[in-house]
Amino acid sequence: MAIVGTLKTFKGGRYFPRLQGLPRGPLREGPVPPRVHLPLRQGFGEEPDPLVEVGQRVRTGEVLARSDEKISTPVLASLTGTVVRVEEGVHPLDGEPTTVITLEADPEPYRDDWAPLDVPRGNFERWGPEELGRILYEAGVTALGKWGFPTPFRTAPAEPSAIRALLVNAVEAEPYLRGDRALLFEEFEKFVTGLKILKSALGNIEVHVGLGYDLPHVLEELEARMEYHDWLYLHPLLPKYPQGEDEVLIKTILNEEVPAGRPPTDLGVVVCDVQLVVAAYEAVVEARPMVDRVVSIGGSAMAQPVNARVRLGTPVGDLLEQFGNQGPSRVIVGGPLRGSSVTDVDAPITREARALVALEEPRSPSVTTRWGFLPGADSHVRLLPPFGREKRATTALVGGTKPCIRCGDCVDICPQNLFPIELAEAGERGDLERAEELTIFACIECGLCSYICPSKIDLLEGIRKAKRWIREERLED
Amino acid sequence: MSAPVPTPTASQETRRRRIELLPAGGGGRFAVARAPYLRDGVGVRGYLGAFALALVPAVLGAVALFGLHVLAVIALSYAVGLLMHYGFSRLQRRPRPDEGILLTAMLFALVLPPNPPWALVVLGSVFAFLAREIFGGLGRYPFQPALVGKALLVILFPAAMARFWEPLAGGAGFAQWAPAEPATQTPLTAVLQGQEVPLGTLLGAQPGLLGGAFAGLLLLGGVWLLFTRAVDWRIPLGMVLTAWLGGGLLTMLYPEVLGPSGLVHLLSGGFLLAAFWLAADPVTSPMTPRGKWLFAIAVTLLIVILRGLIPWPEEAIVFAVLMMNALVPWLDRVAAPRPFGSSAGGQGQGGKKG
Ligand code: SF4
Ligand code: SF4
Repeated sequence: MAIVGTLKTFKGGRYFPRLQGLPRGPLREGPVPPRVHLPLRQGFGEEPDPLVEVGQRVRTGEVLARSDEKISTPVLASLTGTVVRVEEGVHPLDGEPTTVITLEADPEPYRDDWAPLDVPRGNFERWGPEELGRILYEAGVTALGKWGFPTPFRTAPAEPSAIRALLVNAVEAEPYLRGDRALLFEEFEKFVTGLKILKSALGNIEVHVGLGYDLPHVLEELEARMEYHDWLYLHPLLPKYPQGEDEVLIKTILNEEVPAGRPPTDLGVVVCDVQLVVAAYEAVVEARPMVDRVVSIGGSAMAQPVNARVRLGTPVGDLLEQFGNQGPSRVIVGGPLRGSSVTDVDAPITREARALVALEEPRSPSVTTRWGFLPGADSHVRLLPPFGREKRATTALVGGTKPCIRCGDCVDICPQNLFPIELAEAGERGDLERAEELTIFACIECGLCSYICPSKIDLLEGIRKAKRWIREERLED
Repeated sequence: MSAPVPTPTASQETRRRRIELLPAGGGGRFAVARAPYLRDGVGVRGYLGAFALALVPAVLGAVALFGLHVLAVIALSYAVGLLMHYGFSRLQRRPRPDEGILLTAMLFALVLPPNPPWALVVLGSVFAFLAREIFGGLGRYPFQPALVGKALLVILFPAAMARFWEPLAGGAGFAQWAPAEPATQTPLTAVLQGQEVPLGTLLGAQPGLLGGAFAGLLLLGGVWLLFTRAVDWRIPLGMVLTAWLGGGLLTMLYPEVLGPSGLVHLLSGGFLLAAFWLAADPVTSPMTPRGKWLFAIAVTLLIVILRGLIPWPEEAIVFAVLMMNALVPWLDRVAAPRPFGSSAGGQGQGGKKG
């Protein structure tokens, strides 16, 4: 029987108030865009080699790039059309160079012509890990998650045989991230079967599902459906950011600590999200390659906040146009705490893009510096009782940087029990030894220290810089 | 099977013109440039301002007890503070004004005796703001500046600093609130000399420091601070519990030196002012959770012991907090939190790109 644990949570972290522009309503089907840009380095891993040439016609789901000997996952065509460009470009999220393939959709009348996966007949439970791993690999599913999903095709830092537990992150706590929740509600059947598929793909392992306790009916339903599966553990969790991060989830559920800066596979643990489970079902049962993903589209500057299935490679400009962006705004791919802001309407949605958030930007300092807190911004919650209304999130700095007042809030909120200000100051001084002594690589870059600091010091940026220097120094040695 | 390479269509070009994306840092000085894009709305002003705001009930209580000149004392303290801050921040080219003044000037006024000579208010303020500004102002001073000012005054003018007033000294109507005569004793000195003081007196008006005279109102402000989470709960709670239990134990062991009970220590002599404001000042207290606990316990025990040993028991909070302020950097070092994932030596490759 599925085993249900007690309500768990972790040290630090933060609940966010209800924000304006949360994605809601049923899952929408995004349109097929006229063109897509596909960076070859998607998700975790290296860049596979392109197999197509300019001018070649491709069908939806056809392999564009694949390298079995590199740690990588194939990149698939996400629409039916023509390859118009294969050239060096930059990755939209980290700005590092990568090869980008651009596809142009067929002209009207458009026909979405799918290249189905090569899937054997019969019950997947008899296929064995090797075969399931191949299907997941060819479907492009294995690139999801921070560290990939292990298969015999080198898709993660470890072999499947080294894995003893799979953790499913079904608790979304970052503001505006609602895609997993929408998938749980609408694709529950796929999720249940998907869990079984992943378990079969990894062999004899335990599966732990961490679920927000604010979804009790999902938990009950899951418990009832998985009654005869004693490898499944269900854990109700408080939906506190960053509960979904690999390190925090492992610490909460298994009470084990991932060594600083190492992948969880070092502990024999793999973390995946709802998206991966559902995509695994679609690949194995429906022979459907993963050419789209659910993206939460929201934010204070988004007219129509929704969760939508979006073809990979869709330029953010297309989505902004469709879901209505009122006036200029800062557009962020990913959540507002971990995402990266994009400046180009052509920046594509990639496999790891969980959300597209548009935030208003303050044009004047008036209220923000006069009173120290912005009425209606995500705040006052601490100094005044919350009023139950939705808060309006902007990118306002709220007052400008001041010297550290040693309040210790950054220490309290850090989910990794670090000493953020000490780390940032050590970085500032160039004292990299002290930074390493304080285990700087345990920082998961959740951003909460920068978020909470009353002096508005960008602690995370200081930590990132120090990390970069240390890495550079190691390379030189 | 090669198709001609299409050029961007007209609709794509218009789209590109219609949507305006702001570059990172587009809003310039008013917006965050990098992730995290959300920032908590509580700034230094809200944070330290809340500490000052929570003192308003105690100030009103002091006005009622001692008269309107209390407001003049506070105003004088602010005036001197602002002037000194203005001068120093010009010299050191720092941004003005800094929000910490809200708190420092208010605290300095409240640790004075109820009716201090004007000259000493000015002199003490100068001391206090010197202790604040020469270190660089907000966030940089190692010792609670209000207490530095007070400590110097106590050492230089012990007699003037020990003139406490008897509130509620007879009379009818509004006149009953006016101070009648200097009190020779505060509840604290009385208790230490072995006299009985009913606890009810301690919660209401009592002779003592200007701000410490009405323990009930201090408690009110303190609870508001805890409720709004402006103050970190560890130091006030740690101090209150230690005074009650640890102080209780010490007084049981040495009743003739330390008085009869921990509760008296808790409610008299401005202890609550120390617990919620003076010791809990974020700038001069430790940052780490364990450091905060150690600090709270040590400060409280020092206060209880000093009250039995020094000639001015009312000032024990001043010297105890200053002494522990000196140990804060060390406390933060020994009580640093252990990061999760550090057991493996922290020799990670760091990030997916190694
Ligand atoms: S130090 Fe790293 S892990 Fe800790 S709060 Fe800051 S960003 Fe998050
Ligand atoms: S939260 Fe900011 S002000 Fe507070 S200790 Fe950390 S860095 Fe300093």
